[in-house]
Amino acid sequence: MEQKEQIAPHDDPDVQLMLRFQQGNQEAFRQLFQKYTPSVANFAFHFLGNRARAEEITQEVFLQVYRWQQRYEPKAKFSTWLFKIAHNHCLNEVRKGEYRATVESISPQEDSDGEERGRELPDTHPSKGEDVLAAKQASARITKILRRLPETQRTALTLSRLEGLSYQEVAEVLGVTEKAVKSLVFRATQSLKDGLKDIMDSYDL
Amino acid sequence: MICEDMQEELVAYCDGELPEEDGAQIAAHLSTCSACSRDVAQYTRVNTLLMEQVERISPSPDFAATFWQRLEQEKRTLPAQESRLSRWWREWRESLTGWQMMPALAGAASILVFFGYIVSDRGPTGGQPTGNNPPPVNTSPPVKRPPTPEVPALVREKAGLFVNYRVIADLEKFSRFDEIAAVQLPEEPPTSIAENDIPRDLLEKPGFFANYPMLQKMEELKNLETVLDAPPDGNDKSHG
Repeated sequence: MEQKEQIAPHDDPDVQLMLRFQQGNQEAFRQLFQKYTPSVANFAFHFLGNRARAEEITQEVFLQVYRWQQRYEPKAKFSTWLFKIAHNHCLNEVRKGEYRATVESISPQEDSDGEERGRELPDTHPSKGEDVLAAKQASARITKILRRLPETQRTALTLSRLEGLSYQEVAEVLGVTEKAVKSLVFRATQSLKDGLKDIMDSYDL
Repeated sequence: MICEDMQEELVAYCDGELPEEDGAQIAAHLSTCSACSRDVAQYTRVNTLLMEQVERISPSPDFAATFWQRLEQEKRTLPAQESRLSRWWREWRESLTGWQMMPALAGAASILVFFGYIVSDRGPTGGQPTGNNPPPVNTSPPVKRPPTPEVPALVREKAGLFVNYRVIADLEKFSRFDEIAAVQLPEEPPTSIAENDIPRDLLEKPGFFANYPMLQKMEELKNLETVLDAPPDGNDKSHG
């Protein structure tokens, strides 16, 4: 397996963009916003399970980046700093109490008979009808499993697998050790493996 | 280590998170253990499935426009970006409270007076005063001076700006910063200066004695630019 590459903060091009923004370059901020909006929005979406709130939080995160531009110090990759802000915002959102997770937008849709029904995904392989069905089922099942994972496991898994952070970077975001992240990712992966077992056995996915 | 205990390592191996040496050991083990090889294949499949099939959102079409609009609103409420000097000044000023402000104000007044002195005809070299220049200030207690004019309401409202009269009077003698810096503020605020002419509420604020002409001068010379641009004032009324 290929080892993940670790780069020094100053070698991170996004750190350089942030430093340019810190010196007053608004275009640098615009570039960071465009590059990271989808990642932050999806991170918040998987954390909160609500699209509207995820978008709201994403805006808050970038406003915070703007407000804190002078506090920024290039101690880590820019994405690590950004996801730390995003994680804190998501935690605050959940802890507000007034927040009610509307799982309907993320939980698997079920038919009246209780059967899971996949989301409408682009039909990229019309000739492989069974694979398409399996993909839809897998998508719904993954959503369901993610929702049921403990928050730290879900965060570690999504940051590591979906946003490409290393264990060390995830550890910085969560404020835990790298060893703890390794354990969190392992347990989350086990849950996914167990939850997707029948789908993987039935279809060639 | 038996295979069951290696599962955490296998997942980290799939994620490319093991150090090179540990990764090589796992690879060597996998070449001889079919059970662990099968597990690795499953973990890899789970990873692939997750990345390919997890639901992902794209921000709404108006997301970016809404954000830049919010940012513009935010900018209007944010304080203007401070220079290092202004931030230092603000933090220093905020760190001073109450009595600590007295020497600070006296110091600020000293600098203003000094610059006022420079721009006057006398200059810092101590040249002979011209006929238009005010006479040197008598540093003895000004008991023989004409009474200070009645302190207007404006002065009353700005009692905190008043400086110690004796300090100002002493400063008139100095022409260098080190001399000004060496001035010791009196521990006991003077109370005998035109006392009858100063309102009670000002007297009750120790250390801040009204010198209305000096205040007027200070109001004229609010900042360095003003001081430097000020024409030599041959009709300085601040000395009565």
